[in-house]
Amino acid sequence: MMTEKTDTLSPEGLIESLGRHGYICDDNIATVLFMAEKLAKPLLIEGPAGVGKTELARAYSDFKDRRLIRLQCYEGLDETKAIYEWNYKKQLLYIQAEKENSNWQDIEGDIFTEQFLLARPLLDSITSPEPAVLLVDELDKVDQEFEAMLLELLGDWQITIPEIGTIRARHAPAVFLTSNRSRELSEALKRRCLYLYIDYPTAEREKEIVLKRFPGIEQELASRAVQFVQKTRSLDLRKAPSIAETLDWVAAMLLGGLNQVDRKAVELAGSTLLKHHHDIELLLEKSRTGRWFQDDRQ
Amino acid sequence: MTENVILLANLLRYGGAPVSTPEVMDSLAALAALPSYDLPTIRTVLKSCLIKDKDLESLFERAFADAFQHPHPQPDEGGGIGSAGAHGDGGGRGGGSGGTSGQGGDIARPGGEAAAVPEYTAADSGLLNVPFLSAHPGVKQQMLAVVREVAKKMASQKGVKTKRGSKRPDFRRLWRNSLAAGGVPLELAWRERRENKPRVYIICDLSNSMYGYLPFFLEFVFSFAAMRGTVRVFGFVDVLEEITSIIDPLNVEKSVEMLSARAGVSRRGLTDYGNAFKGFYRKHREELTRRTYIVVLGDARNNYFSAGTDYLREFRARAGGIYWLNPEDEKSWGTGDSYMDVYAPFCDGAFACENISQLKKFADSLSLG
Repeated sequence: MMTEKTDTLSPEGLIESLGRHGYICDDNIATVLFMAEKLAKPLLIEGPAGVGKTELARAYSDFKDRRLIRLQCYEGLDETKAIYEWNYKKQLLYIQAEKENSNWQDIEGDIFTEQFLLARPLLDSITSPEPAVLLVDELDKVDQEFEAMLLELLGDWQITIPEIGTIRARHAPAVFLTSNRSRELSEALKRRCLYLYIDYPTAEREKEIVLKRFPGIEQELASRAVQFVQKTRSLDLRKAPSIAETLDWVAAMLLGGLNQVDRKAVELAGSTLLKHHHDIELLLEKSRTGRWFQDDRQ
Repeated sequence: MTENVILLANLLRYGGAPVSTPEVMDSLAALAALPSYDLPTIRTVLKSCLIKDKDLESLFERAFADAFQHPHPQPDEGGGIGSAGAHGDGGGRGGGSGGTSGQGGDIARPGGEAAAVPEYTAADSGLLNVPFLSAHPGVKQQMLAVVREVAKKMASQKGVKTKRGSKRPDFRRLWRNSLAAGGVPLELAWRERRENKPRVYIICDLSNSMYGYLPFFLEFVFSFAAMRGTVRVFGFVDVLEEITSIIDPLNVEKSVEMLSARAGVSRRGLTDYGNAFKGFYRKHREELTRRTYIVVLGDARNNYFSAGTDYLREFRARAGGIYWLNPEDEKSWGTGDSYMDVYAPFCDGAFACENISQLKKFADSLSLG
């Protein structure tokens, strides 16, 4: 594709292309992403929940028109679910079918071959015929052993299966690893990645995101809403509102026909922006006492 | 450019950031692939290649400013070992960019300026040197996590250490076994080694001045000692009481908050170490054995009450060891109503313990059992 080539010539081009695919990124994100692509290195993204870490990978795969292979990490995730598994049932059937006319050596050689292999996300990402985008989401949820299994893949783009041998990647996938920093990742893993920390967006960027998502919204309302969210984040909250929650809130306001950030909007914020009772109380109290509304501003 | 990157990597290592050679090579490759060279872009690229931890960002900013903003600093004459090492590094790979004098000046910086050393090590090598008492609530959780990790690491190391030791024959069983063979000791019997489980008694000062500090220390003790032995905690302001049951090892921080609501440790409200030691002597001295270790946690500010050193001497004679952790700096020991200078001679070790790295130092010097 012609456009693709010109798009990735520079970080600026990347900003624009991702913008077309619904992701507003700043220079920092674009530069690092650009570098990761140039160097063919995995990109480790950290930051608070809901700042668009996963979304970045999705937008990137959209823009590159590559398949997104997603591995959602959770405690107890093991290699049979992440890398590969032998198709046990198929192996059994094969053995039964071959029962009469073969000896054991032949069968053993046959059943441990690629056709009996069930590719899980990681293996899938390197054996895929077209280059893919691999997203390993919330890597901090798995234990260190699992992290160690990733090293071979991330460093050399290969996976070793004892019965078969080493499978090399046909095309190095673009890899995104995300982490919420609930645990320190190992040095070995970090060494193999480029690092990107995404923080809550600045007011301008967040406004851009809101405008992008709700093209019909008034400029004034968008900036008021974003200012309100930014102020909310500065409170001592259990869970600061994420971008996704900002969008939910704005959507709720639009649905409710509100065109300014007033008391009603704040009440809505209590159910969309914040999800902790304590946080909601705090917000209501602050907004009651402080000069938080448009109409209090005179 | 190459020299600047290598200098930057050295400065970062100096500050405690783990920067490996492949990462330096990555960053050079990345710079080569850059379409434009403006400082913010270079900074972003280098940051993503060299620094993989949000906490090290401020260290990076300072090191970057030093490595890139002053391309031709004055060459420093007093270059020590550090600069010699850096020079070897840089000289080996140095490309043609930059004059000779500039190059030398660049590279001499890390070791050359004596003042640069504390600047890089003290402020920002992670959370290790953040004083407990001034820890921001946001950082506190992270620091507690670090404390836990350090403690666990140490507990496992100590475990290896105590496994050594030679077998000792068990003559009683040897004799008994030999009877079956008519008195010939065919089967040797060895004394079973007892698992080394020291008991740790913690006596902690619960007065107000100690509150910011307690969660960290108790977290440490519960992660470290609880893996290897039994821990009992005693608290006092002027009266001693056992508070082991109040402290939930899984949520030490909350437990400490609850302690403040508890009566029974305070009568007059003025810290009195002498009376606390007296209480411990009366109620618990019989439990002290060679395998019991006492850790006193307090600032030793005794409000000029009697010191109670006799009790301390008695504990020392009975217990395996007494260690004192003081959140105050060593410089202020013995000033005003601090009795630390009086107590220190009665302890096997007295440590100032303001931050995680000092806590680490204390644990390193420990040999529980």
